Amino acid sequence: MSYLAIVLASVFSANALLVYGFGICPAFRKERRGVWPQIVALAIVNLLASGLFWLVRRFILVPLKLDILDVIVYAVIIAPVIKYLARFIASASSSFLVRVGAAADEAVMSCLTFGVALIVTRADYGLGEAVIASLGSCVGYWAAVIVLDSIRERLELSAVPPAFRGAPGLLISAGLMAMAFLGIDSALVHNLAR
Amino acid sequence: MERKNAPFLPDPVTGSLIGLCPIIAVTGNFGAGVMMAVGVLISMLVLGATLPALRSLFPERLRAPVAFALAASLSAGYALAAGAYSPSLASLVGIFIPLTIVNCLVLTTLRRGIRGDEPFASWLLPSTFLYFGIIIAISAFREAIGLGRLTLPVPGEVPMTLVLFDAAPMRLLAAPAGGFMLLGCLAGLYRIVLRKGGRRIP
Repeated sequence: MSYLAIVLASVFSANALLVYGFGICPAFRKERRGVWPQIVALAIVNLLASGLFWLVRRFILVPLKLDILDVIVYAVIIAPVIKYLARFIASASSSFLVRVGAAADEAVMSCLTFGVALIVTRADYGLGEAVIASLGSCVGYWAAVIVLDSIRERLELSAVPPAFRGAPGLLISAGLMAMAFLGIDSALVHNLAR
Repeated sequence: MERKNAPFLPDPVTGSLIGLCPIIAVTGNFGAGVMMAVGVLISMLVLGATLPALRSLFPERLRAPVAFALAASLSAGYALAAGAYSPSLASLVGIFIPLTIVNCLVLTTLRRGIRGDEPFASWLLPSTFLYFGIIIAISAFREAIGLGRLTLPVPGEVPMTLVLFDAAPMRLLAAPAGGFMLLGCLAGLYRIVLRKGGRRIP
């Protein structure tokens, strides 16, 4: 599978937010201060989690036929290691790095990071493909979140019934977006990237 | 009518909007929804029963890693049990069984249990059973109205299917897009009911 096909599939036909619902709870939060530190943090955490998880699974768990224990390995080894790195980044003197570290610390325990790591390691990918897929998922997630944020701003100015203002209206809008993403199926993506 | 902020929102899904990822992805199939709901129920109840004991057994620095490892062990054990009970349903739920450990509701339980927030049990039990009930109700509705059938969570290689309609009435409802729309409608209805009672989501 070409890298372009993997990226297109991760962004569109297997979008982390709109197809799997990963990271949906933070995506619907109204307060979003400083998007760039969050994007950088998610990219770093996704990259590290998927890469480390792939290495541990491929070279330790699968040869020992202990792959069913991958969730415990993630919880006991990989998440603490990345959390430690996130806190190390957060101890830097630059305010941008402090915010990246704080966002990374939060992202380690999110379903987005663990879900993407599980998908890319359980798929028949090599290390490079797994890393590209996890970065593609991060791009797809943020693309969907930024579009949803702009929809939220439009909804606040529109005549929406009071009960459907905020999260309910946004969930329905996310459904319409997900419906549009249904049209971009994986076979089409593979043919485009051939 | 006097409006007041609801001091406690017991409904985690339509009120607080947490733990939504399995609802979007898994509840298009009734059997898979039941399997997912039972997994979350077991995790929440076992964690709720053991976290107070963990607080007295471990120093503060170790509590979070130990509790997280316990949640991961529960999830791995449940994945094995679900695979043995019905391999096809377990494969439909797929990665969402291991993902139970990072379900926002389970993480909230872990945080509250580790901190020793009171009243823990009176928060945990209504949230857990409401979440369980809502997953089952949504999965039954989405599969029945979306695909015109119900996949029953019975043991065995091939799940038993109850055909309700000859054709799928609204296939979109079983897709993730339908899950988002249904949740949006339910969240809106929940807010209407709260407003009628003079309450609002804080």
